[in-house]
Amino acid sequence: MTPTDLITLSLLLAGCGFYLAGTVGLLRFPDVFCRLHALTKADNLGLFLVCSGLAVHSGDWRIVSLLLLIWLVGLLAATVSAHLIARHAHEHEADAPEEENELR
Amino acid sequence: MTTEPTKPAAGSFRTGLSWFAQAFLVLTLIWIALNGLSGFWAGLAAASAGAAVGTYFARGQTYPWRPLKWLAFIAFFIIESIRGGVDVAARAMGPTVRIDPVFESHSIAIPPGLPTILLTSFISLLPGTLSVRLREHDHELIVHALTPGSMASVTRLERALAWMFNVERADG
Amino acid sequence: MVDLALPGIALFLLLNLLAGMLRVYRGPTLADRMLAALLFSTTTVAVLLILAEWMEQPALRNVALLFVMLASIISLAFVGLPGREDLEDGEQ
Repeated sequence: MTPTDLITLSLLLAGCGFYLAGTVGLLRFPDVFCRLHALTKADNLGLFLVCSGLAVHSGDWRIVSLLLLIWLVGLLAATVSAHLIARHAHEHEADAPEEENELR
Repeated sequence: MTTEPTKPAAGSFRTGLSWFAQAFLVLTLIWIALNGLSGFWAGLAAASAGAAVGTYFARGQTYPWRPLKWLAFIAFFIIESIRGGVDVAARAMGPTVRIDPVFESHSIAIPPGLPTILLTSFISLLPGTLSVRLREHDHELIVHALTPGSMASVTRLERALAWMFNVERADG
Repeated sequence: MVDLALPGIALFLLLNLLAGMLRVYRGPTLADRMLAALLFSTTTVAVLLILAEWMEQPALRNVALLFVMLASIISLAFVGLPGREDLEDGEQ
């Protein structure tokens, strides 16, 4: 096993760990806002680690720049989606607060 | 030294031109990332068409390019987003969920436009904060914080953005 | 060595996605179900990138890029097109 392989594997496994943490947070956290925290932050870090792991593994500048682009667009999508969903939830929370509190 | 960003005067030719140039450069870089140098001329044509459409429909304020400051900001942001991921992962995986969520209101101290948009987007990736909505004509940001102490992230990001754009924060 | 681990990692991520689908089932709000779509897009991107490396199919990377671009459109569609005043202020 070469050092490059070692770096790749540890980055990929760390990425998996953060994906897992995001899912656990999604299932465990009490309301939609907290779940959004878990999902955006942990999954974005997971994607970052997976992309850097694969970048180290391939070493081809074309692939590396494509991975970088994918991560950047993913980052943008995550933040925009998080903001949109949070705003939607915040607007509609006032309509049905009891329902949301009960079913937590 | 504070450079005032160029104001988006309606129909101003120079703002349009600098917006076009920046969009063109970014699109060309994306083309090279996707396609390499093969079909470079088609890429240039596509990038100028894209930049022209963008300039026509969605021209915004432009800021001078400061690549070194941007790199420093990107480093800051990557470190902070790693901290954010680690922080929320630790909270999720711990034996008990250690959160005390609150909604906080933050009055935005940096100019509207790009700085505010970046603050609103990036705050969701910093430790413990999530942008919920803008209010009062973009002067107030409702933030959901995992713990009351997490609000420090907002100030940190705002300070970094003010430094990157060379603008003063309203309350120092 | 890495090539041996790649399918395992992809499988792990898929199982992870399956677990996240519990949230769609449980809800309780519409926004909670929307979160699963967000999870779906980020996880699928990672799986596609890993498969691209493992199966030596570079085209899958372009699929991943398309997926990640669609992700933000999905949530835009969920909240409805921007029509309200404060949104217009926010996006200018």
